[in-house]
Amino acid sequence: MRALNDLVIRGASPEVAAFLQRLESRLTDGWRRGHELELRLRSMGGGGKGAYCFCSPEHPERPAAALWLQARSPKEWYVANIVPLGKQDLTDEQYNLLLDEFEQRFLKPLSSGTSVHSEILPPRTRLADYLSPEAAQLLTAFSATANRAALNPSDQQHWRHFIVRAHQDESTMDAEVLKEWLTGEGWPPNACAELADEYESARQLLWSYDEELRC
Amino acid sequence: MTTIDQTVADLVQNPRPVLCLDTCERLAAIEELSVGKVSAIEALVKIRNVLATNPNRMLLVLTELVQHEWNQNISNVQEKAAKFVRTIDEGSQSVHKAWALLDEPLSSEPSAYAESELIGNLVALTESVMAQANLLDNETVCFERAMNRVRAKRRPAHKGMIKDAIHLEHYLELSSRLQSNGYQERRVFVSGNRSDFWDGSESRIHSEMGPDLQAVGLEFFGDLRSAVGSLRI
Repeated sequence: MRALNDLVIRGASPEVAAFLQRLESRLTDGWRRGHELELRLRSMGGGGKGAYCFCSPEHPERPAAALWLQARSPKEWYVANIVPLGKQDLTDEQYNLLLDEFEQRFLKPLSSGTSVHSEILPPRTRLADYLSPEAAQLLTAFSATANRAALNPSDQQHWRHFIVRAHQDESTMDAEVLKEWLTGEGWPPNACAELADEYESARQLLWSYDEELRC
Repeated sequence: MTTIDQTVADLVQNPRPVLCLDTCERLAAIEELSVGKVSAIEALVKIRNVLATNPNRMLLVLTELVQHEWNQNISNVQEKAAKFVRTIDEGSQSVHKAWALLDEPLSSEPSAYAESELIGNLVALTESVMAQANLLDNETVCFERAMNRVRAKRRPAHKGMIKDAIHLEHYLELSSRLQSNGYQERRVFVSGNRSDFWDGSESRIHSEMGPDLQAVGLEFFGDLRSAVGSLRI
């Protein structure tokens, strides 16, 4: 699984827009706004309310790349992805280094003394990518209330409700993703491993049961 | 449309990762909205950004049948998504009415997502990405192999349906010919069709088809987001 950090820029709507416009004039050392790539994206129907592309030059430690900034909400922008401009792939480390460089060299100095601020967030497993809102809510509630040292009967019941719901929704969450999420929530390593194993076994059992019924 | 041989010639001349999609993935961005998920939308946006930045980063490949099935199913999928959005609006209106009856009307307006162009824009997003794809012309040999799967009740045609076998056989053939040409880039097939391709609840290829894919170097992913992540797109 990839470990890509998340770069977000937050602030009141008009200030962020003005900030991003000013950013172009502050770029140095071969960094530039990718106007031609923004145009190409628009020709493909993208970048509706605005997408900013910033290109970094090739560096001994990484290939040249284009960094795409898009709005997540009127008050928050984020780096949607970084695309190498040549054939070479970006490693996760190179991706995160590019985010750091972009933030430290351009965003931080420009945001100083303004209401706009940027932040780099560590990678996190997002439940919404794998679970329905209901299943995500069941898992979140279980994690928040369970006795992590030893599950009590009520915790067990919540846990089973989550598994059944994940099965009913045909969730794509696998044991590895679940384990990673539980780890991020601060569960002890042995409990993460046990719950992930139990989840995988239960999902397989429920699947086999459904298959038997279908035949 | 291009033949498999034309696609192979293009890829050998300009090697890049190959992403082959099932009909489920063609419809995923609109379909998954109905269950409150957006990961396929996110994956498609990434693919669109990549292709806008550097069209030589990857090649999307679809069979002619995937395109045909999209045309057959898109209305139903749009209607399901529209129903989901209407349900949210109705719920929002109920919450506002309840607060108003308690003499504490909310300051915000109830949601009116059904009036927005969300679903139309999701269709446009999918269309714009798929317009960049290489559409494979039908190959007789792939149809024959697909029929053999139906006759032998072999996955993904174990229930007697041929369409999934047609997709699979075209992608296997493409990957096989690339392999014969010493092609080093990754070839990936994505299908969210659990009952025919997945191994139970696990998003890996079913063990009955695993050796077929392995023999030609074709990797399998159960959803677009995972495939995009793995290809470092």
